[in-house]
Amino acid sequence: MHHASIDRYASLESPVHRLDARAKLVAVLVCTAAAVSEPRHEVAGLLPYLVPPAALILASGVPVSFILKRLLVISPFALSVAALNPIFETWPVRVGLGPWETTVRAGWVTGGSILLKFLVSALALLLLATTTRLSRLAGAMSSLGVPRALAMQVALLYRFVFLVVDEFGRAHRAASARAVGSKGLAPAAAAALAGLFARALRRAERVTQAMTARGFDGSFAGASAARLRAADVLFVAAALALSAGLRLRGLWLEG
Amino acid sequence: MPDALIALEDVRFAYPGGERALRGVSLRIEAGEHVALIGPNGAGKSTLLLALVGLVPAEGTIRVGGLELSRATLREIRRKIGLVFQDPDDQLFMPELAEDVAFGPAQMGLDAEEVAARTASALESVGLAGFGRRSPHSLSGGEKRAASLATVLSMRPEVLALDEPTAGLDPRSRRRFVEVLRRVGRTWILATHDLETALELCERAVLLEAGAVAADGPARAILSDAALMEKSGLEVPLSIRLGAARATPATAGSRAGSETGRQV
Repeated sequence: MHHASIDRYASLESPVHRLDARAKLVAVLVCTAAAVSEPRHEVAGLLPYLVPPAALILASGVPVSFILKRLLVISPFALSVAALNPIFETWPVRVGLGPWETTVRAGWVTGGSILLKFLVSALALLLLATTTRLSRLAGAMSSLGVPRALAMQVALLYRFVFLVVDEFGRAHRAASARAVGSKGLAPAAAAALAGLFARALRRAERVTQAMTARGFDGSFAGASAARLRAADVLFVAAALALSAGLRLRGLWLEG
Repeated sequence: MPDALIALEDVRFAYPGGERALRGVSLRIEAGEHVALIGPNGAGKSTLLLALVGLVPAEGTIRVGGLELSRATLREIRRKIGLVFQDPDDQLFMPELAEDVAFGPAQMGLDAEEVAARTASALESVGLAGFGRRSPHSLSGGEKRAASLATVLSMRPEVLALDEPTAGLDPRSRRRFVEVLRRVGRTWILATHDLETALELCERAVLLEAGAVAADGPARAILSDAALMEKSGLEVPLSIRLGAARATPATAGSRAGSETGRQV
């Protein structure tokens, strides 16, 4: 089966791809933390946060359409939360854009702020996920203090989620081939899920055996992390400076 | 008697449900031997391979390279026997192929340079140089089989223990696998239903039936024993049947011919 994996463009060659996974992970965390800590009614102040991830995505060569499709897939939750705000926050507030001023429900402002914060976080995460191989990401998590076992879980999850999807696909096709119309597919799907769970457990057992046969005794012997290059350090420094600058500007304007 | 590379004495094992998978298996395998473990489904072939590396707690004595299998020798014995599982998706558990091939050497405590060198060499030996950054789910069936072999070759084992290595392979991939194994292996044990491959790669066959050794001897002799094969739920490989048909057309021709006709 073919899978549209999130890191299908992670092997491209670009300055963004060449950055160390740890540097990208730190930059994404810092940028996201700064954006989401902006006040809940902030809208205009959030727009500059969109520029770095958008510019880096363009520089990476990852197709914009691929990013937009992923954005659409993960946006329903943020969209529905933002859409609910105008219903609950009905009091009027004055908003201005340059010389124009108008009065709107407060919920539109906070809803807009939620959407922009979502966009900043989602773009930053998509940038990280599409330009970094997941195994590198797991390694970066580990070297940044996430327990190695947990980072390993991420790597194994990434490997086996495709197998589980394949197995479910096969079970679904087998059920569909014998179902007349859609009737009877729901119980079959429930049975397929139960079967899938049992198969996943059996596979976990066999994978553990395969790991044990190659010397795994509960602790992973990982390769030591490579040294950060000057470009990686500069990238992190720029992300820190930009995020801190934008956040301090916001605090100064509030004050 | 000098130590064989692998010596099993009265090896027994029952699964937790009570199913007796191995019932007193005794075997000796010398260095350089190529042994096919054959038998019907449930004969105990895969369980025997698992028992060799201590993955099922079998009773009896298992000695590998002079070491008796015990908690103290498990690590060393797993270095000596490279076990390749039947399903490559069990064998290949890391996100990238190079990481998978490096897993064994890294667990052996080798330094990063040695791990990298062994990884590159193992991938090259199975014809997958340049595939290191690929994800296992992007490989074809034949590539996955070759990659599975590379994951143990990087540990430089003395014995390759392969469980159904040609299952699900098309003829070309099977041919490639045979060539690779001949190139890289020295001593191997093949648990297989693919009797043609067994005949091609092994000069000795051990027939297991209900967890016990039913026959042990030259592969050609065992595999051409029609009565024995029939009794064990197997069949004489086509190449032997055709060979016999050519050799004695008057006596065997009509039988082999009619069977070939049915397959066609």
